[in-house]
Amino acid sequence: MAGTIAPVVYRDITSRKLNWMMSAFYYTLGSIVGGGLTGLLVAYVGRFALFGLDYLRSIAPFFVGLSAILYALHEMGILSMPHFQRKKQVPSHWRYRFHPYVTAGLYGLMLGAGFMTFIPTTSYIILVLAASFSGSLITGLLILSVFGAARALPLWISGFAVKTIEGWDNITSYVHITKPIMRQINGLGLAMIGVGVMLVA
Amino acid sequence: MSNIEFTLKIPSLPYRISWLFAGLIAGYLASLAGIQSVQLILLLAILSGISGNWSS
Repeated sequence: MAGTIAPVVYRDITSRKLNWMMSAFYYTLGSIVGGGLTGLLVAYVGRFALFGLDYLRSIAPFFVGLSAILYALHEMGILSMPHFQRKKQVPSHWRYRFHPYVTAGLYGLMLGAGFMTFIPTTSYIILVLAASFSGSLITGLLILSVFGAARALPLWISGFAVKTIEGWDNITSYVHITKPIMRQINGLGLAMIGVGVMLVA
Repeated sequence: MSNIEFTLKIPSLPYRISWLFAGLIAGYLASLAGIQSVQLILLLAILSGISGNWSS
């Protein structure tokens, strides 16, 4: 995040806070819209392509829950599962081509959609599965809109906490070195959701 | 230039397995508490979104 978005948003953070906040706002908006559109798309596909067969609807919670547990094992390095992702960063040249607000919005759109860039943790795959198997466009929209909003959240926290460019570098370093811990936390969350979804259904 | 120079190792297997069981138990407790599937998935969406910033 910091490495990608910081160039858009930090350059004026010390002297022009309002400009930074506007960039962060457009980034957040783009991220929510990108997530929401993705949620609508996968829910639409799930609803109209997969649910011609009613029995799929009845096994959907079990399938999503089991997948979550398998991906929990993947996140914890115990089992290897397919990790679908487009291994691309957001285009850096957009920073020079577009106005900073437009760039921030477009970056948000791409990162909020999730599948258009790197996907660092596989919990996103479970979200897509859940949205597509939900059978509801609103539920799909909600799930991935929340993902998009949450994706922008650390930007606001770090944006208000960090005052210098060196501070951004430190955050980038922290993000890098805490990756193993973040994967463990994702694994724990996936295991929890997996069991919960299977038992609640 | 960053002044952070320490590194974190990947946790040991027993440690990772203990986290896995903690998650499984938490999921069981969540089901006992009556939390709905959609609420659990939304919780995962928040976790996934935040951790999405730990990108390459």
